[in-house]
Amino acid sequence: MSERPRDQPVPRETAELSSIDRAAVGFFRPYARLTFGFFAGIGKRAYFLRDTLRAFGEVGTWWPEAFKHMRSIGVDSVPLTCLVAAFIGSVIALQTRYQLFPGIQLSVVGFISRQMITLEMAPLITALVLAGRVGARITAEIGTMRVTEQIDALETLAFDPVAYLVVPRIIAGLLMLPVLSILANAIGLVSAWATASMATDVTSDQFREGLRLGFTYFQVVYSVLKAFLFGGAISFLCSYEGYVTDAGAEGVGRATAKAVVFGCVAVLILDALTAVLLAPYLQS
Amino acid sequence: MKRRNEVLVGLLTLSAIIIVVLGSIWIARGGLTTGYRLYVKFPWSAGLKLGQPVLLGGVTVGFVEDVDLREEGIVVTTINITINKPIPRTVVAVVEPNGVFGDKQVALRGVPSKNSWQKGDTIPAAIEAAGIDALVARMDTASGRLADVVKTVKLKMVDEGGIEDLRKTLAKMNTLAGTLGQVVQDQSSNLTLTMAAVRKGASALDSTMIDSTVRNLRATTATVAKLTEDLRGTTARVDALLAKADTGKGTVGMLMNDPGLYNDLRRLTMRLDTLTAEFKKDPRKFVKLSIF
Repeated sequence: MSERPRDQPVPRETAELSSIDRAAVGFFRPYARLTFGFFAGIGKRAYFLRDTLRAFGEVGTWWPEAFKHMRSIGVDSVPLTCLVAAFIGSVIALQTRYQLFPGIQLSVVGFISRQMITLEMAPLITALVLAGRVGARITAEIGTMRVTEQIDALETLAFDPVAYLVVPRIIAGLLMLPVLSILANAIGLVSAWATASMATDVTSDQFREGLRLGFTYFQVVYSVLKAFLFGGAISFLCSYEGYVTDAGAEGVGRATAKAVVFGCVAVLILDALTAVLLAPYLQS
Repeated sequence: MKRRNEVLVGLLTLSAIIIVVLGSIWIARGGLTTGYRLYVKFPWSAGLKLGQPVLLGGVTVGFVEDVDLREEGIVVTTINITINKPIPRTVVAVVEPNGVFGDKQVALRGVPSKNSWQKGDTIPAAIEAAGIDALVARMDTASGRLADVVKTVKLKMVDEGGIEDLRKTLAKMNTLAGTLGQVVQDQSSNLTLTMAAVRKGASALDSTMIDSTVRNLRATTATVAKLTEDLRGTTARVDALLAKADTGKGTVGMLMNDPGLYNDLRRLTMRLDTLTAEFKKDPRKFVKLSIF
């Protein structure tokens, strides 16, 4: 990567350097570009966030669009979310039961299932699934509008494209992911309960006893808060990638893939941050 | 289309709100019925937390709804009785282990009674039996002491060369044991020889001679006994004589006890001395020899 082709002329700024210095510059140049690119990327997204927050004030522009995107992100994702949550709950109950060794009361299955589903799995898996399904869709839609110059047309018509395209999607993401996460919690717990009661030797009463153990309302708040953050992160990052797309259809595809990756990474980073910051308050 | 979106989104959101509210209440209260609350004041370190079961006669009748830590060293525990049954007034609440990994539950122990605790009453708490925690604590202490012992043994035996010393001592003990074995072997052979000589000497003794010697010894013993008896009689008589002499009776007694006689004898002796001296000085004064 740092090798320069023999037939390529030496850059003017390094022409007067010794060969060792040129080699050092050639070695560090890609890393420097990467570092600058990283900070520049953060800065560009910060500017975009500023524009987005400013666009929240144009309620008349984004409000009519919000429900359409809420349906697209929320209602249309219900079947997929329920399916994923049901399987996750079932697997957690089964794995928990079969990892217990003799001597541990079986109500632990209900306790661990509740903790895993509520605190971690329901918001996280829902967010990751939606990062693929919804995030890709957001990027592709906005990216295509950028490539086909529809965004430029909106600007020409004195519409704020951010308020019209980005804000409704972010609002939908912020509101619908918690809703889907609550649904995933309920489906996951019911699935875990049914699996534990029917497929293992854990009785319904034991599962319910574990379900109650150490429960605090803050655990639900924590789950919803995480989903809220995940929804905002996914919709914002995916909207940005679509908004800055260029170079035609290929660019849209590249931006879509990048958006999904960024969305998933952001979800995992936020998950870790919320755990570090809020986990101490989860103890009953 | 727009109206339809709004309705669907509204339905989904409302469903989520209902689920989260009712679900949380259901999990926290163990159902949608409220039950009734009783209170127990446990000491600190009871190890209780929300949701732990409350048992009466081994049957779950409720759960721990709230735990309030008080500064005066007690934990006011709210228990929610979810079944529609009275709790006998004779019961006391005990925190006992649930499983082997330190989880707890509240057991209501007592006998059936017609009187029952009413809503809001405080059930007395009893001392909990030694459970898994106590055993684990005891094991922790024991293992800690064992670790100290091992550490000390390592220090003494390994770091300070105790094992080497022990090895040397064992080598010396081995040598000593060998020497002792040799000595025992020698002494054993000597003892064998001695025993053989004793057996030989014993077999050489004439039993007739021994019998004769024994008879003589018996006769001698009888003679000595008679002599002793005579001596005892003689001694008695001498004692009587001495007693008589001491009392001044008889000639000897008077000789021994009369000072006048002693003085007379002294004077007689002095006169005899004087007479002897005068006789030596002038015999003719006393002897007149005439032949013709």
